[in-house]
Amino acid sequence: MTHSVTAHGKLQILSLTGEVDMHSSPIARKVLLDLVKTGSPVAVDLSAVTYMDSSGVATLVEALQNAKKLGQGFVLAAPTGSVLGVIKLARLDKVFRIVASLAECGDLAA
Amino acid sequence: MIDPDSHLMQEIEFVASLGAQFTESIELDETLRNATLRVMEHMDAEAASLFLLNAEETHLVCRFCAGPMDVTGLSVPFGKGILSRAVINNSLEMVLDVRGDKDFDAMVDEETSFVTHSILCAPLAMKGKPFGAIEIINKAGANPLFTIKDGRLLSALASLSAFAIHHARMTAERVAQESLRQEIRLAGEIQRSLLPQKPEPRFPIFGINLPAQEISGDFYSHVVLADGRIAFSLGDVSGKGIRASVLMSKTISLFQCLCKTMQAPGRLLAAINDEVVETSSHGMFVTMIAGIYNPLTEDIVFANAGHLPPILRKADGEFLMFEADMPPLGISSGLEFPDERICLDGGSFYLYSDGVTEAGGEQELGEAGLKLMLNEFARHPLAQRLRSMVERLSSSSQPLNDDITLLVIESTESYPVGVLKFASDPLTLKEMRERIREMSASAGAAVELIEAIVVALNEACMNVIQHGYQGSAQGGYELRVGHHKGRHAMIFELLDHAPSIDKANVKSRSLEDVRPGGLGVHFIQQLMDEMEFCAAPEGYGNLLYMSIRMDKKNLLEIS
Repeated sequence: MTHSVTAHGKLQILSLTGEVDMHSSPIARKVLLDLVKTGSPVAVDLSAVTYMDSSGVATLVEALQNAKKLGQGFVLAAPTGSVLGVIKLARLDKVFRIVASLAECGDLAA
Repeated sequence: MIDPDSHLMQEIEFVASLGAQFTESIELDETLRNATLRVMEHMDAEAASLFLLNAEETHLVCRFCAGPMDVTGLSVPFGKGILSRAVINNSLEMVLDVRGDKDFDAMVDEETSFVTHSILCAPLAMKGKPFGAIEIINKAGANPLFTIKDGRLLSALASLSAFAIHHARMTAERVAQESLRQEIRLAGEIQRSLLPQKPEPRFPIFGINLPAQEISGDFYSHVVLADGRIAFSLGDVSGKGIRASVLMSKTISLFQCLCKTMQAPGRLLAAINDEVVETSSHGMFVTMIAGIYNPLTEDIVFANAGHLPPILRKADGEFLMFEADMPPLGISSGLEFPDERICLDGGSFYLYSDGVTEAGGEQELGEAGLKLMLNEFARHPLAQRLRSMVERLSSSSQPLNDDITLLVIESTESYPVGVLKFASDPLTLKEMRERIREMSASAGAAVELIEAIVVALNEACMNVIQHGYQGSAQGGYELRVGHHKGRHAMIFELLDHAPSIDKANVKSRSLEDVRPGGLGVHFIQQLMDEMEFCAAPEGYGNLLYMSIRMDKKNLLEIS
């Protein structure tokens, strides 16, 4: 797994690529929680994530809960089929705000 | 306004106080006696008695009496006398001078020194059906003739008494019924305890019995023999109810005892037959199949005593049926039951009772319906398959007409596809997933199924690393992958050397509670058909058995 952070206006975007599993999710967790802590709205670009296990899903849940506490937006962008499948399996597809592309979270940038 | 001192008011008060007497005491005899005595004294009469019809309705029997003569227990033929007339006509009888009444029965007077002059008699009835009467004899005092007012009063007493007696009888009946029901429930429990306990995961035989009532006339059994082979049976006792259940208990006990030493099923049935013929009565009989399964060779030897033909569903879906040539057990002794031999060869062997083929009421399932159902559920794991079938059958015919009993024998061994071994390090998971993708593809799994398998196995392996080894990379895990031909399923065995885990602690959590973690078991259970911890082989700590049908769809909504 690799990751990169970019900013679009106020919005912080974490882009993940490759497989987010038990081995790599602790890294993703640290980066993501630090990003949420800044108080900015956060989008996680999942378009290049080919596999995600329950530890990856748990990381996203933890980040969402922290963002909510700070009253900040948190959005998952462009998940691939297999990642969306796992999110649905955990019945979290209604808990997250999930958008088909990063362009759809412009509201958080302003 | 009614003058409070008027006769009418006194009358009302008297009846009201009688009524109160009935509600105050729960001792029926005492209440009836006291109330009748009060009425007798109120009318200033010489004697009173209460008679009830016996169960056969041939006699009226004196329940109690008051007066100079004790006739308690006296039984007078029903149909004779003024008392009977009141009961038959369900009407009040007032006879001012018995000498002028042709129905007067002087028997009691003749046998005693008592002389009857006049009789007032009111029937005891419930819902228009009389079952006894109260009579008051010889009004004395200044005006020795019964009046209409006396009649009204006695009728009131009779109504109260009839209600109280009826209520007491109903209560007694309910108590007796409840106690009988309790007995039957206990009998049912004992019977169920004769059936096999839930077998270990991967046991090649699974049976199910759903009694139509508390107790069953059907049975099935399987017993592991000393050499590893498994004796099995399924049977149905003629008739229903307690008698059938007693013969069922006897037959299953004989089987469970004899199968350990008599290993030719035909000879076993012959021995049970002779025993049942010798002791059975009322023309009862038992249809039964007994056999022995060898899990190593998948061979079955069985014999059939008048039972419905067992069905072999071969691995390619073809059906073979084996009709019984011999009559049921319990009809004539000295019979010989021939053994039949078959090999499962990846197929499944089904035994069933007529409650299965006759389920569905007018839309009877029949043999053809049963075969369709066997096809429909063929790829489900054994226990799940039979439970689904029984659920379907029992929902199509409510209430059940007959006991439903099913037993299936099927090899749980799979053809090995490959074995993977890894250190307990999260770094190994990526390679594990790659190899599982390759193996599943080579076994013929579709892309979507492969992804589901990978997700489930990844979670299972994560659990071993995280919980089994507590994150230590010192241990290792092993994945054995197999393909079950008959069920067209992939089988996965995950073995580790970690300390044995407590199965009770491995469970899915509620997803309502949104929080990180704890999703792994839920993922595995959602995706796999089976997930069971089995006894680990020598040298291993845990064995997690999982299976998934290869035709499963819509597992992960991957677009």
